Amino acid sequence: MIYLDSAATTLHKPPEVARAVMRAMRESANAGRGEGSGYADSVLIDCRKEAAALFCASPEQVAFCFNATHALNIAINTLARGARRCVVSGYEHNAVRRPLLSLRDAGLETAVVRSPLFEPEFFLYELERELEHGADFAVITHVSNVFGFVLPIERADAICAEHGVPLIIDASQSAGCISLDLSKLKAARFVAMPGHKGLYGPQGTGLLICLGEAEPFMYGGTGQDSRSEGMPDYLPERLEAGTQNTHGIAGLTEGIRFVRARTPEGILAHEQAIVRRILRGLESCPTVKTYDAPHLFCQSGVLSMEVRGKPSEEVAEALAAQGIVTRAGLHCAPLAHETAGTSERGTLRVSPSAFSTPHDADVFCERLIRIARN
Amino acid sequence: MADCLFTSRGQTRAQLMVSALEHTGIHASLRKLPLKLANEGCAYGVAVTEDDRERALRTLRLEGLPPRRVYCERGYDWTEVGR
Repeated sequence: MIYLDSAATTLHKPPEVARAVMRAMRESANAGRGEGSGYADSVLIDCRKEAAALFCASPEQVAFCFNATHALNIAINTLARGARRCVVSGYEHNAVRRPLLSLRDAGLETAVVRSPLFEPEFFLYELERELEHGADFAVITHVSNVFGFVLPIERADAICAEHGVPLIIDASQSAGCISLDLSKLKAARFVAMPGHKGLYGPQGTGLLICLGEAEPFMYGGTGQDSRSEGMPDYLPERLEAGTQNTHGIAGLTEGIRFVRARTPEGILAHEQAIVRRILRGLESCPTVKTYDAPHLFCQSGVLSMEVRGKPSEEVAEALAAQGIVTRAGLHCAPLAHETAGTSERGTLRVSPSAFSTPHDADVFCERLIRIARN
Repeated sequence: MADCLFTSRGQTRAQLMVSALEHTGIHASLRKLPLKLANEGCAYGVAVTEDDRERALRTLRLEGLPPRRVYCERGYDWTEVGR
């Protein structure tokens, strides 16, 4: 099988990930529950330290979640308390859009910054205009999951800071392939990410890096402060009710170690090289329209395309029948498709990983061209 | 013998305290505190020997990880000796 759907989840993981999960399943008791939990406790702190090192944060700022959606819900529900207006980019995933829309009846207005694909300066200009109308917080994805558009997050952070607007960064597509030095950001309050995509951990893992106070989204036992009626008043335990996914977290630690060893820049360069090879391979096929950035820095290793006259779902199905996994449709991001003008047809998306090869790209191109010509 | 306990605001903080101490060559271990030392119920702390107590305190303050309270074993009981 040729797997090109890493923006949904990375299928191929470093072998250390599975080994760590297996070891944790054999040896890990319940973390934070006293005697016998020593190994599980070490799994959690090791992962916090690795994640903190990757993002220039403190281990106490790293809270475990089940996925990025869980992390985003915590962040949004913290900043939405008493808020009237929120500003988001036009490239947000439903993991941002739906939690915000669920708060519409509570009086939260969501303003969308509409800006064309791969136009970072345009985005920054429009962001500033929206913030001038007032905002209680902002949510901006670092990389569009549909188009791989890399939003200028450091400069957006600076603009939010100038307007005194706290920022939530959705790093679902950037964590592991674009470095983010949180010690240099001024407005960022939360950075949410899954463990199972660019961090190469197992599914069911996610991280929320909290650069300020956070309100719990779930309540329950933590193994600490048991007499207290509320959750602990300190991070990260405040956000971690119930038994943690220690098995998954053990794997995530190894995934992050893999990323740190290869470096996010190295992984991004590899994925971009695969995407460029696909673009070159498709040049001879005029019926395939690709959404590629004019400048390399604007696009990660995610590429959307359309085959004229063929619905993307049919193309993906034909590719799958030949052992090539891609993703078609709206990619849980109707807002991004609306902004880019592709919401009626959707797109076919390819997203390689650190384990994708030039051969994968060549076979994909050859098969896609054959499908497009039939 | 570990006979001093530094209480912390949570398990993660206690783990970081242990790491900081071990990094400077002070033997320290994570401990679940006796309930009588944990007003809010179930809490964690760090155990060190009394000989290492002052050096450990200096290290933790330097690292920005000061303990909430410091207890030492006196007879058969824990006595608060500092914050």
